[in-house]
Amino acid sequence: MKLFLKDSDIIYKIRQGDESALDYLYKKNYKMMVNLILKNNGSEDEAKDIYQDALIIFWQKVKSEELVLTSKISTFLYSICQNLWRKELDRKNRYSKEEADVAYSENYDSNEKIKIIHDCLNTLGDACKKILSYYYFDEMTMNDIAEIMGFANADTAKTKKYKCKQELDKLIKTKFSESDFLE
Amino acid sequence: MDTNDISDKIELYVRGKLSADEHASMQSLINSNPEIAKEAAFQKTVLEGIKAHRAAILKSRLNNINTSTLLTNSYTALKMASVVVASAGLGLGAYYFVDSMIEKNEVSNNIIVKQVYANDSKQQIVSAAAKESAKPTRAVTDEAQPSLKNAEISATETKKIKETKKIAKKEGFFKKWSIFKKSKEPILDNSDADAPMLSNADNIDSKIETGHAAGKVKTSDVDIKAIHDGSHNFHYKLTDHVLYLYGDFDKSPYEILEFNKTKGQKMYLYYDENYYEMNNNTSDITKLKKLTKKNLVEQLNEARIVH
Repeated sequence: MKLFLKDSDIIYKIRQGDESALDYLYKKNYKMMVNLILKNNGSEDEAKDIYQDALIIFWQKVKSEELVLTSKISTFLYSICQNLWRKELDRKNRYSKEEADVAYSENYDSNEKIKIIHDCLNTLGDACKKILSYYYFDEMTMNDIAEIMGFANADTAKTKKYKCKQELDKLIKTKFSESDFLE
Repeated sequence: MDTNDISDKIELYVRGKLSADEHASMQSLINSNPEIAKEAAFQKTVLEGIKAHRAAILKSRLNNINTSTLLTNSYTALKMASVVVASAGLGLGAYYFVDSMIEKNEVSNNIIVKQVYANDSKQQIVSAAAKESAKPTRAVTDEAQPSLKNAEISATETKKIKETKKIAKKEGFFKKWSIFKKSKEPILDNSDADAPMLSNADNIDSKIETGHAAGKVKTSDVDIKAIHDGSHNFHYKLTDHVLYLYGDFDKSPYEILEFNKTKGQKMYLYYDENYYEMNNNTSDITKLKKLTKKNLVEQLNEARIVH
């Protein structure tokens, strides 16, 4: 990837599904974003976590073409980091240890379900994982999925996506049933 | 409505892709039919799982990036650089170049864009951030509520930066440029074209022209010509305000640091985390030698990071 990309080039690359654009952005703005968290009582690990989440939000918004960027990308990322970190600080301040434990147990089922889905996706294999991710997370069109996956056309992508989703649902229902997550 | 239709509608409902009428209709169906409600809840969980999986993959990718050299203490760097500049009376021009455009001894379609350090304009960033944060964000989190409190947080830093920039302007050393190949890909959004974030008074780089003769990248003080024809690897020639760089500089961006001392000009090349000294009026093609003097490297590092 070329270095010193213009913001519009980065947007273009993200819309093409070029994940190296994410690497580029991460490195380019790392210092600024991490310093923001460090100066607000966060650790570098926390800063990384927040910044990575911010980049993923940005990625998703660009991919879904929801984003109309009226500022520099760094400005936009900075605002997301600020808000994510503020929320994290609020969460830290709000919960006593006991409350945090309760919150953890309440989230336990949800986390377990996500873990099961994660395992089921891995069982399905790379092609299905990619198709489903591109469709549901990146919100790519069937044409784009066909192109990036090397399928003949959008109809092929649509059929494959349908089969992958059916198989995933089936797998998950079986696993949920085994774990008493299905009533 | 057959089973497939219902499944499709449930999925679209969960993804928020139905029209208002369809959404309301599906909502009432869910309220009245426990089986449909159960399927909708299941689909919601599945989609959340798929998204979480994808987000985890992207995060894992980012986690694998080596960040050990990306974070430096800008406060310290600013202070030290200010002292270095004020006491030594140096003029520093820093030019950032990417020679991705340099292949087969040919440079064409170049554009020069002013690159502004985000830290230099933290106050503007914060206000702009507030505007942006009003926009909703999806997935990963539902956060993003606007706030301006961080303007206070960065006030001290901003003041320090401004003080340093005053020195910089007085000494006339602060210049910073990015040069890259004009993309053949369509430009989708020009709103981000690195609009100046400094005040007009600070914007000392505005005289540089864009659009240059093929084969050369011109700045206000020096022309850079990079040659990658295989004849020499990592050599340079510096004469008559033209710097020739020989070799493949595609691995990472290179930077030229120019110190205008009273005794004359001194230039250094920063490439791939190393510094190389370049002497003026070197008319012969000369091999670039890595600087090893620790103190000098540290000073250059500080100056480069700050500017």
